[in-house]
Amino acid sequence: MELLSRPQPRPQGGARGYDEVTIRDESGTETSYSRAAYERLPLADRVRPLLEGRSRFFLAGEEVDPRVAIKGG
Amino acid sequence: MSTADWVTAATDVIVQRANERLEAHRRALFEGTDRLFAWLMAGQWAFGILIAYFFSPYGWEGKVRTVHFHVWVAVLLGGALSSMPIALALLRPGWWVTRHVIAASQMLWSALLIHLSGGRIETHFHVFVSLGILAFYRDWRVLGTATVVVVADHLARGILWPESVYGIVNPEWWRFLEHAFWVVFALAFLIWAGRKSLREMQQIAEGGAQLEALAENEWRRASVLERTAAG
Repeated sequence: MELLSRPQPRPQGGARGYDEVTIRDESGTETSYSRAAYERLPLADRVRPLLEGRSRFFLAGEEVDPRVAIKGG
Repeated sequence: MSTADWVTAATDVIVQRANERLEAHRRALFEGTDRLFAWLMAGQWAFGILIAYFFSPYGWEGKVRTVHFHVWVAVLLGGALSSMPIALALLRPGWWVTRHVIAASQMLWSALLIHLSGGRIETHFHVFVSLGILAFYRDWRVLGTATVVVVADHLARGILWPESVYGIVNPEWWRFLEHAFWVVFALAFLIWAGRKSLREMQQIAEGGAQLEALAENEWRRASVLERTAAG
């Protein structure tokens, strides 16, 4: 079960916001979105992958903790 | 409940809560701005009476000194202009009609103050200040109502009673277009800023929803792990 298997990145000091998000679909294919494209997705299409642990956030190529990324604005 | 059902249900609830937060935020904004205008309307009424009283000369009927017509205009017309928006702001704050009535009344207050000051160009600043305050609503339709009212007033009075609005008896016929241009110039930026601000409000609500989703995911993972460990 994917909800259990994905380790979450640890919060990183100083890392704020994000510039890229990848969302993995049910088949395991990852789709990459720029921040602007991600924020244009319907809210439900962003919430659902977060609930299932399928979203990963990046800033300058480095993965950042989703909570820090979202709070960072 | 299966995991897929749980995710679907949780998604619906989280999205709905985000929409409710955004609506509550907007409603608080509308109601707060309505209350602000209730105070402003009362203040403008008092200010209009003071302007009429101190700046308009007394009239004479034979040897009897009488209160100038402008003072009665300020008291009665000003009262009429302020009473409806004040009543709506107190009784129906947040209603869309309230803010459109306020917008129209505020522009008519500009017209009245311009008239009471004899068409002074400086009093026209009231129009732009009012548009800035109306922009607090972050609703371009309110600014649209205000613009229609102020342009119609300038056009009508420019034709029928030009010294009342421009302070001279023979302004160019297109003078109202010059005033309208500056109103539209200000509006373009106010509407842009309002839309940007609305977008930020939406981002705050959506950011909260995404954090909720993360928290739900973490709680569910933790509880399943605990159950597994306990079992």
